[in-house]
Amino acid sequence: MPFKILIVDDSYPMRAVIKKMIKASGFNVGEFFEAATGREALDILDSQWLDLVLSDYNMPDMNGLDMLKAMKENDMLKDIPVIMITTEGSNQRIEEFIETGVSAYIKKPFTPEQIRSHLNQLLGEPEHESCSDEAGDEGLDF
Amino acid sequence: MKVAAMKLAMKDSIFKVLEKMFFVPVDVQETPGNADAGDALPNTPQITACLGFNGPSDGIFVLSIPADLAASMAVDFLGVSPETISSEHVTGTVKEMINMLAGSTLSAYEPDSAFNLQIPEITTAQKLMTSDSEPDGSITLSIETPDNRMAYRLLITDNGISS
Repeated sequence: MPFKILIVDDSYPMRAVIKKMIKASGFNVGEFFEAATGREALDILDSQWLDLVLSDYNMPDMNGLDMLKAMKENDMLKDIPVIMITTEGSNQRIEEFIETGVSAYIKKPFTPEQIRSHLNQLLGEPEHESCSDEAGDEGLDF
Repeated sequence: MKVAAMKLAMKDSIFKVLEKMFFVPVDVQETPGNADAGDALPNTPQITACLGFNGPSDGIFVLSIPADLAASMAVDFLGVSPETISSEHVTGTVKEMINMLAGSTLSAYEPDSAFNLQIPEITTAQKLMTSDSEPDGSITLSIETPDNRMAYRLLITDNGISS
């Protein structure tokens, strides 16, 4: 069954790069959804069943942490795994993510291997290995 | 703000972000304290992005990058052809670059403190790159790529710097 993944980031380039990294990781993704704020993400989550959310922390309108809190208060959304991607890697911020129930977090800058490793843990191993795997980790770096 | 520790954090973040995420080999030079950051830049059209922050220290990070270098970095970052790259792609990439640089710098400078980062913006305020814009001091680093140069600057707006 192909996965449905939501990428939340106010930066179009970051959404594009994350999507590219996931595709290169060989996961069977049926559909990508994109949102530029936490509020937009919640609107999408209200109308779609999704397997995973990757969200930036620092966004206008509603940040990633407030989006995560809203998801945890909603019985329909609370079990969807959320990976938080953040430039603010302070220990205090990370503790906030964990206390709120984040499934994993990734600090920017990151490598495709970090994305793949977290997806493996949350979604299982990809069904098809991509050709980029043959290049090894070095070949996957952006 | 401890200027020596901040300089180190800024340098560390430049290598981390530009080499890990953008695949650009770089060298970093410090510009003299009384020089305009513009002195660190080639005389070509620039794209300048800024990002304010507050927390245990307050300030504004500024990144100024030649437009042609920004375009080629955006092409590589997004994996698109030069013919299809738009100005939104380029400015978006520069904003993401300063976002990562700032977050990485502050995490390295004070890992146990939480800073609030504002949303990065493209600015035409060239004064952010001149010595007139230094309320409480500044740190400017010149980033040398194999065939170009950009500047990464911190304007300190809180209680100044100490060694």
